[in-house]
Amino acid sequence: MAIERKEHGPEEMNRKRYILIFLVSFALVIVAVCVYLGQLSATVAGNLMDTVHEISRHDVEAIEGALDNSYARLGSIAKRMEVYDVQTMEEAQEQLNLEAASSALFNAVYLLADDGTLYSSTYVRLAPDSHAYDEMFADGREHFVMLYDDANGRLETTRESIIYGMRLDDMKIGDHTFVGMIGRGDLTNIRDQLLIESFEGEGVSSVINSYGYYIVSDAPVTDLAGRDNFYATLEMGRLEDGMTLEQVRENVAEGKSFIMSYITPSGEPTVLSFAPVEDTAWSYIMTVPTHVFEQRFAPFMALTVGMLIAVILVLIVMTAIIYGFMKSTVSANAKATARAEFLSNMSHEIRTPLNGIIGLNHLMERHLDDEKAMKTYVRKLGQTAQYLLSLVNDILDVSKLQAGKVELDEGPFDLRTVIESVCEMQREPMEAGGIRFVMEAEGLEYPYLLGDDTRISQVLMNILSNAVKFTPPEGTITFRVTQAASSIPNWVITTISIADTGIGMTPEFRQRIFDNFSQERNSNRNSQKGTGLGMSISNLLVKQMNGELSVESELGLGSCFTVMLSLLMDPDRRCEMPIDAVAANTLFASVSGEEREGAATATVLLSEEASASDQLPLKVLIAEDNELNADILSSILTEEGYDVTVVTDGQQAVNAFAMSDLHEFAAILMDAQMPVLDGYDAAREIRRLGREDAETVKIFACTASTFAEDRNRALESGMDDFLSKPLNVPAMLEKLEQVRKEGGR
Amino acid sequence: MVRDAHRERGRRRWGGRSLTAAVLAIALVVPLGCSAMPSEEPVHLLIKVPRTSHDAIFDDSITEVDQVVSRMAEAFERDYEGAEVNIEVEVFEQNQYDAAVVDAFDTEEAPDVLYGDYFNMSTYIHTGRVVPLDDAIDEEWREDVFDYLWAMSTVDDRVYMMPYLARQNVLAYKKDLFVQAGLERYIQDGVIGSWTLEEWTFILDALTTNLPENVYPMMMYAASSQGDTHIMTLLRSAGSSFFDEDGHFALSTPEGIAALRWIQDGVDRGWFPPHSENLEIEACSSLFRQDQLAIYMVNNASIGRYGDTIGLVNFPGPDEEGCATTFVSGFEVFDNGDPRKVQVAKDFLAYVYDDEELLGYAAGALPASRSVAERSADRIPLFDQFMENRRHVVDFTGSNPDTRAVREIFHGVIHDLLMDFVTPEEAAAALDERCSRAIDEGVASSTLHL
Repeated sequence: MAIERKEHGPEEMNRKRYILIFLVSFALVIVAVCVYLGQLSATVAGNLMDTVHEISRHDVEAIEGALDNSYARLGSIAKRMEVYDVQTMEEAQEQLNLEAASSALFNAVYLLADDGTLYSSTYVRLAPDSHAYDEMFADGREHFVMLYDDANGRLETTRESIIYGMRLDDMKIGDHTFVGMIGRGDLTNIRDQLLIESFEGEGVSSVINSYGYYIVSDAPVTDLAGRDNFYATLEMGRLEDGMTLEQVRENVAEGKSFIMSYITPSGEPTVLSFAPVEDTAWSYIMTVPTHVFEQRFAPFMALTVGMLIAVILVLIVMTAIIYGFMKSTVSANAKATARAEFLSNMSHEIRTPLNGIIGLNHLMERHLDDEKAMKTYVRKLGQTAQYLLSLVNDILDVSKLQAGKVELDEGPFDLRTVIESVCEMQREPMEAGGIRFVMEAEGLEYPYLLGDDTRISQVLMNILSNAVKFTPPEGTITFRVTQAASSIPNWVITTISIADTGIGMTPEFRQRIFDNFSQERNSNRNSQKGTGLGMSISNLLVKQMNGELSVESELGLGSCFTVMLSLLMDPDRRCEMPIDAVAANTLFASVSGEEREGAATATVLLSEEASASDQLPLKVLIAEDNELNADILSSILTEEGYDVTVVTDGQQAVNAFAMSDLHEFAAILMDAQMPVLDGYDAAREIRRLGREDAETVKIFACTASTFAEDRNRALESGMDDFLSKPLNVPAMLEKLEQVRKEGGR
Repeated sequence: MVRDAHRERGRRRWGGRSLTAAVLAIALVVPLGCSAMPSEEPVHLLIKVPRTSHDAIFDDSITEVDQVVSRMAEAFERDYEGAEVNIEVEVFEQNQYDAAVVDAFDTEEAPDVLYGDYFNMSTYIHTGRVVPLDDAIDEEWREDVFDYLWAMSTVDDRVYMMPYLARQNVLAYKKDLFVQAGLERYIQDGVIGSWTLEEWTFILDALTTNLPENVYPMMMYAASSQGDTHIMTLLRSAGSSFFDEDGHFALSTPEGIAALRWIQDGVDRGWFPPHSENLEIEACSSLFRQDQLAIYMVNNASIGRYGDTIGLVNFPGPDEEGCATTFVSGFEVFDNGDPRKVQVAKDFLAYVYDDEELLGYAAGALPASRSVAERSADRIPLFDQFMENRRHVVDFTGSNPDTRAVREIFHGVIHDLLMDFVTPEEAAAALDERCSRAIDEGVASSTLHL
């Protein structure tokens, strides 16, 4: 039979919902973070581009400043030449020589005469037709700067040089009039001023003229004729952002400031920033590898990511803490609610039979003379009291089980006996209800096991009694037992299923069948016949035995409860196992439906036989400190034909037995908790009296402490048996009858 | 046709020798290639060349020596079979030798091959970076190159520079200006003349007296070290040997001091442009070109620029026949830690010296190759005269391992001398002491690549 063992409750659904919400939220956070970082990256990159452009502008201003300084130096020389006392050009050139010698910037300075002759500080005189530097002022400009390329006339150098020029306002020296002054300096003198490092040396600068030829660059140039050209270099790489080489040329020629992305021939992405140098045909270019931005951005990005991660982690931790707190609060509330509900249910369940008892008591008072009615009331009173007793027992069981205070016995037992006993106890209700009972015990091969047979009986009894209660007449209850050897040596897996064709359960109720006080309200049932704790107790007991209790049910078709237990085989009787299936079925034949009638008859006969026996009154010593209980017990036993002696504490019991004749008392009903000397010690004293009957007299513990440890304590003190309070009168009488049969007087 | 034949012959020679070189290259490269560099990876050679004017008698398009080196590189890239080779030829200014070479050591800009003048390049031999080339020189080349050039390229019996050409420096005078000064009798055509010191003094005085104010008798400069070897040569005018037997400066002698005094007196006598301590050789070159200077230095490669306007004369001293200097120019190979590059660089030199056309570009100056010289002699101006004048050539470097350091000192002392800041005796003592110390320091710090 397939058993559905796991149910997907609302909690599971909620948990999945929470996980889904968390995942969605987390994904949204991640997306938001990525968008944020992307936007941040773009913004920072944009800012860095602006920074590059700003630095370029700043560098250009520095270059323009350097050029202005050069013009100013040239102007200073011109002013000094005006005040020197020189009359001839020879003298003037000698002064120019001294000026050039004292200049850190100029290797040579020249005066341009109005007739076009160029007079050098090196005494060289260039005739008008041997140079064209006068044409540099033709457009009216006040000053100029250019790379020396001898196109305007060969000067006295072959080195890379910069030529500065400034207009003079007809400066007179002797008979000569000069319209311009020119300075020639090594390019290396100004190279450091034109080449400006940035971004810790990663950004390199260069200056080109309007044709793209480098004035200075970070790379060495070739000779004057073969000077590297920026555009030729640019062509070897790849222009980005849709920019074309022609556009770059136009922008540079028009003196525009602009930025462009460029992939170098070696494949390195770079950013190029262009800025014109005022009053020149030069453009300043700053080249910055893109990885510089990435390097600069990386710490900021890492910090941002780190902070975001930290924030997310803090949020997660806070969420987890809040969730845990809420969960614990909900759990605590649930526990409180469950406790309150339990108490409410318990109060209700206890008050209900008490109410019945009070009502019956009232009716009995009014019908004391009506024997027939009294019999009915007394019977109902007994039933109600029994129900109340079972309720209290169940409540105690649940409390102890939930508190983990139930200790299971691990003694040897015969599973067949347990099953027989359970089935036998339900035989009468089944017969009364017209229920067909089927026992299938072919699979019971290992009956001798170690375990708590009482608790196993309790579980099976709960299930079977439930099946009987909820199975209509003509219905069937099938009791099936199977066993299999475990993979662990000497362990046996026993599966007991009890299936009925009863009313079944709704799916909702099936999910809470093992909750406390769970009973399905069914209008077809005229009353509740249980406490609603039985299945809860059974479930807790099975779990404590490391077993499983599961249920399958379908409304209107019936239910099937399955108990699965793993138990150790009785080591003393292991050699007797396994038994064959036929023998097992034979053993249970007495409780199967087919044999039911005969067995019932046998039980009736036994009862009748016992009640019919006529014996001498058996003398019983009752030790009970509660006067009412003592009176009731005394009355019951007296009415049943026993000779009763009552004492009120343990010491009196010892004394009474000591003073009695040998074998005068056949049995002692000993209360456990009594003043002076409790029942356990009293039993020990009696056993130690040293008289012939001290060891043989039957001592029955009578106590409201009904747990296994109480039973064991009683047996250890020397008592023979255990009668729990409230007393099960028939059971007590049966035990006393047994004493009588065994030779009690 | 002749040029093609030469090239073809060179290629054949190269083809035969290239097999040996290739085998050698493979032997060197293969063990490295397994672990360090794949054999198919191109070899990049950086050849640095100072900006230097140059003429080639058979190719008027050549005006700079780097053009010649670039043609060598292109041909080698095309023909070399040992590996794929990329050669970059980089030009630097004459005053940027150290920046181009020493400052570039251990960077990607470090030169693998340097072409230049020996007196500049000799310094680098003593850095331990320049490899000896004896293993790349076969007997044929050894015999083909003039012995005096081998001698100028050899240190401790190892050849550290492959001589390519030589330029003999003498003085030139403008005939017109001499005529203007009434010095017609000193004008000689087709010869490299010589004057006694007295004649020199007379001529210079005559020029001072007779030339216009903006025309000057003779070159003089001290603003930088450029061209100072010519000034050094002038210090032999009174018979000084310049160096002693140990290779130290030896100017504190009557002859040395007399030469210094001769120069210092010349300032007062107006022989030189005013404040010539502030001039550089290029300024004097321009003045000479502009007919504003009567006497200037030339070499056999540059005389063609002046045509028949100049006459040639040796520097004054140490005897009546005067003296001249020779600059040998050629190639050095640097070891920058990559044996494969070193080998390819040597193969490059082997290729150049096997190609007669490439060697022929030296004709214009004095070719290092006898065969080129013999072939081109009739087309090189005054070739025979310069070859004949070799006997008057003096050594201006001595055994100095750090010529550049000495030059930095020298021009400063001359600057002070021209400004009359020091006496000739003080100048001689300063030169002897400071330049000799630089020489000793150069010797002490010298490391040769063996």
